[in-house]
Amino acid sequence: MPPPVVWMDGLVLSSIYILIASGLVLVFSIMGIVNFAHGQLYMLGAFLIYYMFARAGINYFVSLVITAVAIGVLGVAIERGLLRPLAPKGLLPPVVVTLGLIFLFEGIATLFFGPEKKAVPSAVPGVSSIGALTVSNEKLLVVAIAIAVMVGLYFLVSHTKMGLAMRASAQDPYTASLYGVSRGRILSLTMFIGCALAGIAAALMAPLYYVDPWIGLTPLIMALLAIVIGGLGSVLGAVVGGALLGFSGTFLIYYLGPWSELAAFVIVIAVLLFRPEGIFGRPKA
Amino acid sequence: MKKVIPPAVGLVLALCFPLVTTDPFILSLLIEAGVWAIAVMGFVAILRTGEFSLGQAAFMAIGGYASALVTINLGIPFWFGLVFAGIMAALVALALGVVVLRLGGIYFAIVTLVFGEIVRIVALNWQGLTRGATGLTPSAPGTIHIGSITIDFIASKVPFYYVIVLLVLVAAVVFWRADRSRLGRIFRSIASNETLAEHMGIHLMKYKVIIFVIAGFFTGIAGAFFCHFTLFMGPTTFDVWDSIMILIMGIVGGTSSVVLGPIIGALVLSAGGAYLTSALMVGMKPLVYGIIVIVVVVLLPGGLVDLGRYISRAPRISSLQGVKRHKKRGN
Repeated sequence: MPPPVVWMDGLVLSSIYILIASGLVLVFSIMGIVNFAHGQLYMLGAFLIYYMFARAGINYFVSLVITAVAIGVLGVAIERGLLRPLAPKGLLPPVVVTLGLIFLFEGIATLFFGPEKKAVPSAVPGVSSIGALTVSNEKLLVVAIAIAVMVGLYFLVSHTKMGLAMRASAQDPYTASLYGVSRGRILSLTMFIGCALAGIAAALMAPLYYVDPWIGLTPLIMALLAIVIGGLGSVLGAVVGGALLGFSGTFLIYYLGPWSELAAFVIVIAVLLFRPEGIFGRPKA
Repeated sequence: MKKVIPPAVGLVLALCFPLVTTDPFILSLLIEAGVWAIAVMGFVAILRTGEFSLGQAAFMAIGGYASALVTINLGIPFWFGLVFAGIMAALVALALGVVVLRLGGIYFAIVTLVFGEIVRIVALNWQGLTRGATGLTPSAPGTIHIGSITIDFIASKVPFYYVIVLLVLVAAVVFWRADRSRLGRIFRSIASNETLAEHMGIHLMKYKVIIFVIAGFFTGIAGAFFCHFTLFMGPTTFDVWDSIMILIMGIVGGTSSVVLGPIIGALVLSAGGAYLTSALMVGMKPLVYGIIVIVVVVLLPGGLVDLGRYISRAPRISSLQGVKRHKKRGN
């Protein structure tokens, strides 16, 4: 058994992966495309936190909410301005546009924010003791907020009328529209929630790591792996996949060192070979 | 006969170019554009079978390391290193393709993207073989003496230029032949209707794997050539960003042809991008690339190769027909 500290780090990493992966999978389940710029939205969110919290000195929690809303609104702008007009042209053009956005956002970040690494101070300095385990308050905060957000998302999707409309539109947009569910509003709403989740993840992660224009790639890749493991289109799958990758990542780095990064890929290849639709995905008819 | 003339003119122009200038900077731009053109042809050929690869730069990395390692450790000449690189990349493509092409669609895109990261991580951590982040320093091809003629790869860029023109030519002929053959027609039938093609007794997997392996072979050779040209091979020489670059060049050039579009895309973006990085500040290159690819997808779905056709036909078709034409291609 790894020491408790490693478990705690696994929990923190899992929280981040779950937030990013569930945003990505939510958008995929409604729109049918993977938003490859999701990691760069995360990166822009981290810069927002840096400028608001670390530079302007705005309260951390206020900064977090503003970041989530701002990234969500940016996501809606992308959906309305670029993805929706391209949707009739098939799946490829919108996907290529999201790949183009990767470069666009990184270019903007490099030009305007600079390529050097930036540090964000801890939002809640100090440490707490849980039994024999001493944990930094920052990590506790990450886990607490992530759990609160995911519970909120679960409630929203499965216990509200809005969530019912989203699920209906994901299953069958045409029939849902016959029952008065506006496809356009559902698309915007989903994109807002999905991207806001990336913003929240960025706000939580920034004080633990550094911020630069290229931090978006690793979270994107891990989130993609998580949703492949969990099953494309299933938020529950994204949660399980994210937790699996978060814990296995930290455990293996404890035992194997840098080679552990490969373990995640091995898990994915194994899942794809034996259960291509993912753990919670439905097999193709 | 008519069809042979434009490519022949292009080839003659390419061969005569060093008579115009032997400026090392300009030749370097063209040589690098040639390397990318080969990789982009592979990407477009795979795309025309209906699959979307986001990991083509990984095959360049495999080719680069394969050639650098055998030439440095075993003292094998550059030319055999090049062939070895192609074979190694093709073998990896075969193993990967057999597993992942079965899944297809979005899974293929995700796994190829991830594959690029796997190659980078292995290259970074397998210190004993690849020397990690320090990288390898492959050497330029040795001097060739044919009678009284001496071809020196170190003194001038011109020999490199002719080698890459030759490689682009060979790759172009192979991809063009594959596209025009029975195979190519099958690929197009795959892209237009997979289920129908399968019901007509076409073994989709087999043909997709074949084109994936051919693309891997040439992409590996392109990567090997590049590392012997720049004299360096490290874990980030070809990474995920380069895979996306290849995709952008392919889309911007146009995917309606397997040879012309990639060459145009690589020339415009690789040479233009090198200019942007040398002349302007950091960050301008990705910014401009991002804008270019979005503008092309939104306004010119056929890519730059369509521009000429678009302009020449514009007066004759109504705007509505134009929309229909693009929709057809988009699907």
